Amino acid sequence: MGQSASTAKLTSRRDCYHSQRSKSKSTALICPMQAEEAEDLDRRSIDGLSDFISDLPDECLACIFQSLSPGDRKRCSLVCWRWLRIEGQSRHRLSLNAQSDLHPLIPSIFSRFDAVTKLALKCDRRSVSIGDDALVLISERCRNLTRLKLRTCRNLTDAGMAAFAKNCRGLKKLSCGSCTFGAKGMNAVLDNCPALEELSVKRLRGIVEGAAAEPIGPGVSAAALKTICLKELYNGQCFGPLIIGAKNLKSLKLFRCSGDWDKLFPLIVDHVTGMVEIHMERIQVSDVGLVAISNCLNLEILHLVKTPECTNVGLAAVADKCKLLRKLHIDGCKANRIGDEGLNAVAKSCPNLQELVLIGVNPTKLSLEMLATNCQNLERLALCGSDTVGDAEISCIAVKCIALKKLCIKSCPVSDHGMEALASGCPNLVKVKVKKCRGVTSEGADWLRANRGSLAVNLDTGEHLDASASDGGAQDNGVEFPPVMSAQMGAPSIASSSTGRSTSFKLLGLLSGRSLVACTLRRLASSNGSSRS
Amino acid sequence: MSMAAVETKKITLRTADNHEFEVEEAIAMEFSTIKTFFDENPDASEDTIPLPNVTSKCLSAIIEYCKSHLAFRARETSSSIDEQVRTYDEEFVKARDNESLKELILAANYLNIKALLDMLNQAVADRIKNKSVEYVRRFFGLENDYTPEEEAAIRAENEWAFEGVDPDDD
Repeated sequence: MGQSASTAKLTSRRDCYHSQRSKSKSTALICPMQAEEAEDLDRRSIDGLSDFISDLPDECLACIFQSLSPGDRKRCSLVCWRWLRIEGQSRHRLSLNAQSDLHPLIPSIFSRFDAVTKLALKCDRRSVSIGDDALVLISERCRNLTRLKLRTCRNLTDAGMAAFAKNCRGLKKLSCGSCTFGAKGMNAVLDNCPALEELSVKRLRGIVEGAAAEPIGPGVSAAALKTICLKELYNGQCFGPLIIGAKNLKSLKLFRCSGDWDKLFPLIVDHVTGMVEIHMERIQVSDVGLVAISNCLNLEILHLVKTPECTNVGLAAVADKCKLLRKLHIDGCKANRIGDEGLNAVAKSCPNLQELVLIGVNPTKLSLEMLATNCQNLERLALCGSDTVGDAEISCIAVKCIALKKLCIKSCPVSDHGMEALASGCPNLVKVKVKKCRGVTSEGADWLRANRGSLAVNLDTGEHLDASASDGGAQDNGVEFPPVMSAQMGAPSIASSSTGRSTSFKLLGLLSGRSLVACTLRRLASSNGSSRS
Repeated sequence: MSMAAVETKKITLRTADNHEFEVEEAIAMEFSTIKTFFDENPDASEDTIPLPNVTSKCLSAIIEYCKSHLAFRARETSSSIDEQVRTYDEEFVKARDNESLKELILAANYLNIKALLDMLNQAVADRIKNKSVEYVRRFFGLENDYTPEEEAAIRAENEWAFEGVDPDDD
């Protein structure tokens, strides 16, 4: 009760300051002083200070606040009433704890922050989140919202999303994770937001599987969409109509979404001709899908992570036609379905290759040599969990990779001997990172540092906790990974882990799922010589 | 301009404390306020321009700044020039006390010199980063006009906003 009384007082006192919105800058040479500043002048003359205007104008304060973190901005809001007003009115990005108790504070919060365009509403699993009413209340006060991020707001339903979408039609980016609304809510957004450029959906529990599944898209958003990212959806392919309808789509990322993507990609590629970036991780896709993807002639970035049905054949098909390929990441699960053959095709046809990451792939000197020789722009190379990359291969890279700037080697049978080669090779090499390679010692690293002063050498033997990200862009939580599983999955395997903080049971979920079994089966199948269609 | 002078045109500025500064036209045009004035009054080129809100101390520092940056811009862009500009800017603010920074901001704002203003605002932001509310008040010479209840209510409201900067991609 006391809280609402003081909130009311707060609001009314604040309202009388609110009428003073930031004034236009006083740059006229004639009569520069404004009433507010003259008042300050009087106040300070009374205090005996001699400076003539000691308060900075609103726009200068706003500019200073812009360089401050949200934490610092909070402190500034406590300085005085005027600062509360200016800080609030100049705040464009706001991230709120979206528990249900936020609801009564919404009117006062959004009259203080009345210029928010980028909003995050984040709740947690253990708390009750805001509901539809609260979201609608917010949407009525933030009609100029361009970005919305929702996390674990499990009380939001389709109805709430629909009402929100109708109020915030200027939305450009929507990111929702661990929410429980469904296709109706998603379609409502797509039907009301013609400027939507980026859509990111992770774990949307309301999307049902099977016959009851409602298709999503295209809506009016499809034409504007440039990036679509779908993660951990039980029924990812219900987004098919949206993806196909997104004719200006540049980037498509699919992580652990079930569905027959081999069937969808031909349709997608037919309609989306400007695709530049495709990430596929743990989805059901094979060479059939890759052959379809090879028709994306503008493709520059391709990530194939734990898609064991993609083989050299599919990779070669892509390489053959996608000559603009710049960045290639492959995590082959040590299934040996992608190796020298596919990489040679890449070397032959993709001269623009700048970045190559190979995890659980076993290239030999044959392909490494070709890549080094043909890809004159290869600047970044990462080799992880390769049984075939040893000293000879490193020497080969050292001799032939003229453009290489950054090299990362992890869990490979390289020794100090191989490192020696780097002292004189790769003339443009700036940084080398070696991780969990038992044959490389700190003496070896020191020797290299001593013999090539300009080179940054980062050696991590993996004997201590290490939470740094590998070049594969994945989080490597040394603590949470039992070593056995690391070896099987290829160490930096959870690229899809979002925050990386409370990942332990997320990881268990992923590891205990079908993918681990599927991966293992593939390996067994290929080592037995049996082939799968 | 109407004058067909051989030498570089100079413009005279008079500060609040009645000092007169003669500056080259190029430098004066860095002050958008003055540029606008001349654009709108093309015949006023002979007059001395009064700057009642700028002290001589401020103006001389600002003229130095603009001179140096004009010289930097005249050279070809390169990372070493960028480095030199950064170093110059750092030195420009490093030795100044808080009060003089504020004065410079007011002057740069009044004269409408965007690059200088941005740089100074950033410098002030750097000085108040991670500092307490009380420190910031003292820095700016401001008084706390909240009652204890009001301050408590604002703190309670602030609790709902996250402090961290969100990574954009998730």
